[in-house]
Amino acid sequence: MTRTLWLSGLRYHLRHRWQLVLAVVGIALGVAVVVAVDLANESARRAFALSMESISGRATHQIVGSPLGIDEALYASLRGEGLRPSAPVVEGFAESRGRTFRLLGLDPFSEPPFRSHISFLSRGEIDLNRLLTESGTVVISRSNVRDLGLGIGDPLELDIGGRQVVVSIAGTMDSDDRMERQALNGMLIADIATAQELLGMVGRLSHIDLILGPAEAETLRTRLPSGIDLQRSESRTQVMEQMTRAFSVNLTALSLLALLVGLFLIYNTMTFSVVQRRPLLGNLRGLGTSRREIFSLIAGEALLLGAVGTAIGIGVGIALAQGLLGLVTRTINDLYFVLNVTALAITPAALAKAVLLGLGATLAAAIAPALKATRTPPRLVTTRSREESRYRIVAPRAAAMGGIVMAVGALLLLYPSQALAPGFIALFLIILGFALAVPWVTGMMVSLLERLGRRRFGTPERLALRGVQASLSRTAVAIAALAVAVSVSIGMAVMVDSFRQTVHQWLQFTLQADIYISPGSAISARRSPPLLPEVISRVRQTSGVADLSTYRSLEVNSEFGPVQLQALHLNSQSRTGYRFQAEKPKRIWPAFERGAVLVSEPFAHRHRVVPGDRLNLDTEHGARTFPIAGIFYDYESDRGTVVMARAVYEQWFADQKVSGLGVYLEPGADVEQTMERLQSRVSDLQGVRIRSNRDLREASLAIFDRTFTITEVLRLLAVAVAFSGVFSALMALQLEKAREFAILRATGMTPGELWRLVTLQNGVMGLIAGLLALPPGLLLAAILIEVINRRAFGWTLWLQIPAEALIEGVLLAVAAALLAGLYPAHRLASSPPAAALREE
Amino acid sequence: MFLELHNLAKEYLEGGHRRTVFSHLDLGVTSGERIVLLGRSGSGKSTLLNLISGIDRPSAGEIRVDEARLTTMNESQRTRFRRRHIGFVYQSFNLIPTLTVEENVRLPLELNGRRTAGELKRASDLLERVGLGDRLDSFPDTLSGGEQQRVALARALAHEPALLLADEPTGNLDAETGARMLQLIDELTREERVTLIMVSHGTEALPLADRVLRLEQGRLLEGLPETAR
Ligand SMILES: Nc1ncnc2c1ncn2[C@@H]1O[C@H](COP(=O)(O)OP(=O)(O)OP(=O)(O)O)[C@@H](O)[C@H]1O
Ligand SMILES: [Mg+2]
Repeated sequence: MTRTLWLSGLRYHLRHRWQLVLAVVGIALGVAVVVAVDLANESARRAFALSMESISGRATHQIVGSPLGIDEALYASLRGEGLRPSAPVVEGFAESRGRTFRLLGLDPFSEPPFRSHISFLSRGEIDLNRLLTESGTVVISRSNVRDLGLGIGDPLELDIGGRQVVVSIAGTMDSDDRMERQALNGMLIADIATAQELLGMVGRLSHIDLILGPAEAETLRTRLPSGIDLQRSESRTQVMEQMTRAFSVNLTALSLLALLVGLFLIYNTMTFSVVQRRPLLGNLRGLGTSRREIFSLIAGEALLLGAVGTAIGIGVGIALAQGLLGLVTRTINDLYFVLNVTALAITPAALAKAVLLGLGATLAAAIAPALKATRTPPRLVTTRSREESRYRIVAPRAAAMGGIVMAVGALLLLYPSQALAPGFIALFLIILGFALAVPWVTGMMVSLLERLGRRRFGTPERLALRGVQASLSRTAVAIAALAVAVSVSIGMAVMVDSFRQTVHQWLQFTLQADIYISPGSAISARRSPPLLPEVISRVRQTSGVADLSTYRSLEVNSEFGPVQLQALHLNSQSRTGYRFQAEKPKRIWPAFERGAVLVSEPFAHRHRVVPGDRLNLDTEHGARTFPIAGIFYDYESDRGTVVMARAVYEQWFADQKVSGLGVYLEPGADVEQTMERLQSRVSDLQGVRIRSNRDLREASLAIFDRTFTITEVLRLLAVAVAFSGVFSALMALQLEKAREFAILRATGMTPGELWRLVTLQNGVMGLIAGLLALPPGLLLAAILIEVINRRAFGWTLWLQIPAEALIEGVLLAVAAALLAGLYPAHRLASSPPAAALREE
Repeated sequence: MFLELHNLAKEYLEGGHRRTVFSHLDLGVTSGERIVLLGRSGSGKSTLLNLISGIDRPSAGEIRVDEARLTTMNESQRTRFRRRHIGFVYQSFNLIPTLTVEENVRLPLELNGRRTAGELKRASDLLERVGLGDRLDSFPDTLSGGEQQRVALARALAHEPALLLADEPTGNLDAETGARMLQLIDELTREERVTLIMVSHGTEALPLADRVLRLEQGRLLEGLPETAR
């Protein structure tokens, strides 16, 4: 490898600065998207694990009870029998100034063996005396206190399930460790008595933490009264991780799609950069440069480009991850549980993956063209035309092969499986097969256009079409890259839209009541505290109210771990809100009243249960089995829900509480007026949220949109990657033609005609790519919906084909292509052609 | 006068400093006149042809072709003028690689709106004349240098220009092929009464000239250099 050889490569790139910059941008964007999604996902996961750890501490086991908690007498008696170390915990949520806090009630004297890093006995500025003796005092993290602009001794207003309470700050806690500090953020620690009072759990505990060996655990388990269970600490964390599994799988799928787009673009960039230099390489070969040297020249360049692109991509990715992290956290908070993430965990693994991806993809993309380049015959005059005609012969064969690859992908899809990997592989094969078919299809489409326009087209138009056809080996690669990128964007858009439409329709039939009442400013339906009985009876007596349906929502232990249980009192109208997968409602409802349960589609999917199976639930009277009567459509939660008749619930769970009401009005009653009446009647009792059917529907859709913001952001990123990639590909294509265009100008083509030529040529390529992107885009959407969503979440979605998404996709392709033509066309049209003619 | 150059100058900006190729050039050429332009390599012959054809702009001075003032036209007007009235055979062929031989020759016809089969037949006729009737569908990069130069000549004459500019049309050819090329140029320009300005290094082209001009140190001189006489 000589210095001069390197120089020739370097100068080449300096002279084609635009292409160089665009290539680096393409690689960087591809890497950035993957890094961003990875880091955001990983950070959320770590923050979650850490916050779990800081709550469970060193506990190996927990004693858990029914949803209503454990009688604290149990703790006293166990401790009396000498069970230590053991620590009682009361846990709940509170809101303050738009933030959600996890309220943890602990007993400072039993604590030391458990949670060392919140050991407020040893560290921090805490008035322990106040915390223990004065009720309504809490400890909060130092950075929270600073953000809230408060200090020790100041009052802090909390909203706990609609009740307003004021607590006093008795101290702050802090840590030197960044991740640990993050775990402390969003936590309120109180004495156990204070927490019981605040959370309405007087006399009860959420759980009891223990440190046990396996043998001890077994003996203890046998001694526990019925309805009380011993659980390993990790299982709690695992369950929570399980919850978000589908969500992170989905995110990973999206980042893989972005990666796929990135790969295609990198491939396109590298191929082009080599193919374009064939005359130069032929020249070098002619001068006696060996194949090996040519190969190392190109591979070296690719490595360099890849390194620069990767470095920039990682930087941009980290910045993007900060933004995505907010979205990921918000989605987790909306859908699953309260999680507080502020710090980005930049793991070496994620960075290594990015480097591998950036360098690997660039190198892999460069190898084929580099090998091809070494085969460039050592002669000065290249025969582009021969190469092109060979390409045209190969194109149909490639298309046939693409067809086979797509068929294999399709077969893989048809293969019944619950696993996600085959779905992903199928998706990849289909896109690959599609890309292989692009050159042939492009050729056909252009021929068709040429034939159609033989009479009508002027010289620039015909030359434009001819140009696409004559350099198919380059144009087709660019078109394929563009089409893949656009199809991914279309696929995602159609998927989100279908999802939204499905949810919309579902809300339409599922929300049957006229007005919904729930405890005020509930953090989420799943964590809502009960409505006061007084509130319910007042609502019932309000004029205009004809009937009520009630629901009680809470977490119950089952053979599958904690599950969401809804106890419902349904009237005949609210029953019509349930649609079942297969079974007849006529048969389901009587069984339901007799004690059977209904499960939602995601539940059935997740736990592989079918109607007729039996479900084990831990009730107040010990474990009970309930037959499953039917599977209903539900999009509220991807964890799944179990629905039980109210009467059955009260019988087994000894719980009279109600989490929410559906109000049915008398015919002719005015919704707005009744809502106002209800508000004024109950507001002195409890803060409640009263929403009309439409309000709730809109709020639900808003939440849906929020959770899909991240998908939308990723789609936009994929689009940005695609756009810049295609922009660079087509621009490079046109810049390469500078000399050809100069000859056209010299031969008598006016600047205006040249504009027409370039614009039309790019427009046609954009249009072809856009049109070609439609079938794989729709297929992709179908795969995302039918395979990924069903396999990951268990949701049945109805494929909707929104015309706007398709039009938007085609327009995107055309716009990118047209924009890419602006600069080359301008450069050629505005200057006299003599200069460009000189260029080689 | 068919072609008039008045006070013509061209300088290039290269990096920071400017390099004057020539200045104060004056020339008159009558219609149908055949001129051979001699000059050392780098003296500015190609530059001068570029200016006359309008594919480059002079730094100062005026160019008139058939009473039309090229120097006051904008890019588009100049291009239209060029495609109607001027043919150019470039030093380095400059064929369009993505078009076949016949399509290359048809191009100027089509650009002039002559697109009926009868009008386009002129392309294949001309190619027949230059001896390439059997290579109509070949792409330029499969042709030899001499063949490519003949295609370039056919292209330059396709639209029946009044003025043919030929920049060393024999420069890349062996003596015999070069002589054949000159003969073709001679025949074709005579038949169609085309005004010709041809750049040449050597003396081969002199027999076909009505007038010989020399470009020396930025000045245009009449006749052969002293040494050659
Ligand atoms: N774009 C340019 N930038 C800078 N200098 C240029 C440019 N084009 C031409 N020149 C210079 O102008 C001078 C004349 O060039 P030109 O090509 O007209 O010479 P020529 O007489 O045709 O030579 P030859 O017989 O070798 O073809 C040369 O010195 C050349 O270096
Ligand atoms: Mg020259």
